[in-house]
Amino acid sequence: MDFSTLEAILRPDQILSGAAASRGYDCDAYTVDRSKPSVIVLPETTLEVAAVVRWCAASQVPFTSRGAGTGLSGGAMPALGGVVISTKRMNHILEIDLENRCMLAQTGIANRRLTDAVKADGFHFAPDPSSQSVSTLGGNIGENAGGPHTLKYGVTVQHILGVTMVDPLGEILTIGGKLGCGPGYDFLGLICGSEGTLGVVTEAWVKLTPLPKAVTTALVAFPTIRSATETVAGIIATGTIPAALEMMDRGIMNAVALAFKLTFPSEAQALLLVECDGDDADVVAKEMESVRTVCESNGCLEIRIASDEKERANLWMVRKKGIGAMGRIAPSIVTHDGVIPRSKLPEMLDFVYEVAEAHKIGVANIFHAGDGNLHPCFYFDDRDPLQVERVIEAGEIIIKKCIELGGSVSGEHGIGVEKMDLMPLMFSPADLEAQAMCKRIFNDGMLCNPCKVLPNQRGCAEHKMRWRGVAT
Amino acid sequence: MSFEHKQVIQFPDLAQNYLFPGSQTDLSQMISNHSRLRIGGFNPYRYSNSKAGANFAKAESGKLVRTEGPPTVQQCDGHVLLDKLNKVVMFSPADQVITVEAGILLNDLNKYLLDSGFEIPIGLNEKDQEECIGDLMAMNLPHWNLARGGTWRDWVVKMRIVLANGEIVTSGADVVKSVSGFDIHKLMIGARFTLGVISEVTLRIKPRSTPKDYPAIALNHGILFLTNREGLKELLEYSKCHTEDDDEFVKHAMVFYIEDESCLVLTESFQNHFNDAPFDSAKFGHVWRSHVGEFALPNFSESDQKLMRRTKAIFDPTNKLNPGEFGFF
Ligand SMILES: Cc1cc2nc3c(=O)[nH]c(=O)nc-3n(C[C@H](O)[C@H](O)[C@H](O)COP(=O)(O)OP(=O)(O)OC[C@H]3O[C@@H](n4cnc5c(N)ncnc54)[C@H](O)[C@@H]3O)c2cc1C
Repeated sequence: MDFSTLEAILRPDQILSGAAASRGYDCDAYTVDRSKPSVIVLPETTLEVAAVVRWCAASQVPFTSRGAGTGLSGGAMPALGGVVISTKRMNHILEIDLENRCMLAQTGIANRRLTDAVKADGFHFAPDPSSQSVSTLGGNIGENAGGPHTLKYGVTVQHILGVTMVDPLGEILTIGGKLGCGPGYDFLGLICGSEGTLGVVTEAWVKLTPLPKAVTTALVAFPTIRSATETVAGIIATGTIPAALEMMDRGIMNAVALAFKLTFPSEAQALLLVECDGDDADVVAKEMESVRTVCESNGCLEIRIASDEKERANLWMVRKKGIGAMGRIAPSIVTHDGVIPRSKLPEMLDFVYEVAEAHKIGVANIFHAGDGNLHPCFYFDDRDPLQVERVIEAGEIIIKKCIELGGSVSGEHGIGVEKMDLMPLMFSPADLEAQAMCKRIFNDGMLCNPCKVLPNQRGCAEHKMRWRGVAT
Repeated sequence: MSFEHKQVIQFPDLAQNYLFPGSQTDLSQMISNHSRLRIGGFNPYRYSNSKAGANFAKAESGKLVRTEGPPTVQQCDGHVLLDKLNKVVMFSPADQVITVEAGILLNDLNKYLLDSGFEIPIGLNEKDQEECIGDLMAMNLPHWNLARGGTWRDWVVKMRIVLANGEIVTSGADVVKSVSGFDIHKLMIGARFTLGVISEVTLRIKPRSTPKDYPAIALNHGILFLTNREGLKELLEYSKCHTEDDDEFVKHAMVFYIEDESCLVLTESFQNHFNDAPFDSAKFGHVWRSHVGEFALPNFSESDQKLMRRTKAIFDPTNKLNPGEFGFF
């Protein structure tokens, strides 16, 4: 294939190729499966994206959208090679409308920058994945990302009013807008979480949410995992919905202690980070009081409540830097993602530790406990094929258990290539065929982010073994 | 647990050949065995079916004109009402989710939840509470608690749907958060049973809260204002400029519910068009919000029209389900 004709569409500095460049784009943060693109393009406008996609359609070359590449299920991996459309240079805010509480931005902008732009005016973009300093608006839409504050504020789809996108044939579509979607079919709901398989989202109107006037944050230490998980169920049962309810286990504490010199009670096996917020300081204080009562009745060891913004940031550090700190312990980490009904947390966590032990791999847990959204982090060495296999097997066993307990294969990281084969555990062939019908509304072919989400797609099986590489 | 079957025939003029499936399998068979079916009992806002303005569309001149109606039940083989599908299938207070069949009335569901201290925060007026939740989801009407309570899409986590070929499919999971492929259930909300029939849903529920204490107005078409009484007066003035027969139209279309001293709620209203000059919300610090309402196919944006046509052709190629809705004749 002659990729040089792309130069008729983009400037040379917008086209990257060669071994080094393609290695940098052969996987996302799920490093187990890899596939190299032929070319990486860096468009700057919707029109440029449309021109590239039309070129791909005409040349029958597969293409894959990519934001920051922090996805954890292989969504941005170019499964059949071809062109990676990176939104790196599409990072501008195009309009801020505070009165109507919304903002228009290109989708390559990092999540955090949306909030930074309006913070001083008392607003924020509520979805806050822990990767928010780098992960992009487009990636958040692609994966319908959540974050620690999802419990109260919802996931990405609830904060997107409209998008401009390029469909798989290169046509520009506008769905919803500043006023959100009108009546009719909810295409926006379908696009959020579709993992880049329905087209390339180039711009989005996002909702701006007022910052709460009062916030209280507590970090609570527990002597056992079970006492912490039972506290989660207890807090939810009181009817209090904290803004965040996150859990970290001893593995994370050790990693964070090592990396950032933080200290925790020596007998602590689990931490809960609880944040309550709202406009009325008295109500928020009462909520935190109710949280404290539940924690104490479950035998907590210590409750640290932040008295100012600096202390609050310190308490959050263990949650926000937890996964990064794990990176210092082992060469590779695979962060799994499954959801279970919250009441099943105690049983499920016991199971996770058993599986890790049986597979001789290290595991630490840091997750959105309030949503029942688990993230067991396996740490291992991905240069060793046997370890890679064990990690994959353990992950599958855990996800199967999530489904057995009435949960889901993924809470926020998506299906990508990682979990395609697990979809039939959750859905019947008829269910999956109906999902394929949804995909066909936008994407009838194999060019736009092929071999993702739906299992058994024609033309993908033979590539699977090729992806499963070992890090070099 | 199931509720008394309340058979409410809403369209006496169309009262023939009503079908009341007693189970989801029944519903599936009915759909398989018929070639044109009217589905659902909640019609006041439907395209061409309501006195209150729903049978108006915007002509090229910019004026509102009466549009053609959908086929009546006489032209369909039957009219399916979900009333008998009203069982509570699963309720887990600890996980704050409930699974119910789609024929359960919102009122009955909320009464059931009240005993355990929960609610579905979709704030519909009394009349709408008497509708079944399948119909309410299919219509996806705006409501007074939209700003806080969100739309049905925010509360439905799993759905069973009977497709036009009679196949029963499931989308989503019984948990509060899930990214598991293409969310068919989101596509069904607001689709007016034109793509499939919602037969069972799992909903997130929330602990019951105290009544709201801020003013809100929900307009039928798409915009929710948080406003004050001054703003409301201004809004009424604004609304009139959209109608041909102001008095008659506005009288029919607007019903006010004064929930408490500070909360003004407009739940039924007029056609409101995205393309018109927006109401001067700056004046009173209003906040525009989005929602759904009444529209016919030609009123949608080009992108939407194209995608809607494609979607209908994929999900219901023979136009079996609610022919006429959205102008799919
Ligand atoms: C340390 C760490 C912490 C994380 N924490 C969280 C968390 O708390 N919550 C959470 O939900 N996730 C989390 N993630 C996962 C990841 O950050 C999110 O999925 C994020 O939304 C991905 O954004 P990205 O820009 O990196 O997208 P990418 O990884 O580049 O892409 C993700 C998917 O979106 C598609 N895509 C990207 N841009 C576009 C576009 N413009 N149009 C259409 N499709 C597009 C891609 O094709 C791909 O399928 C975390 C990841 C890491 C590494």
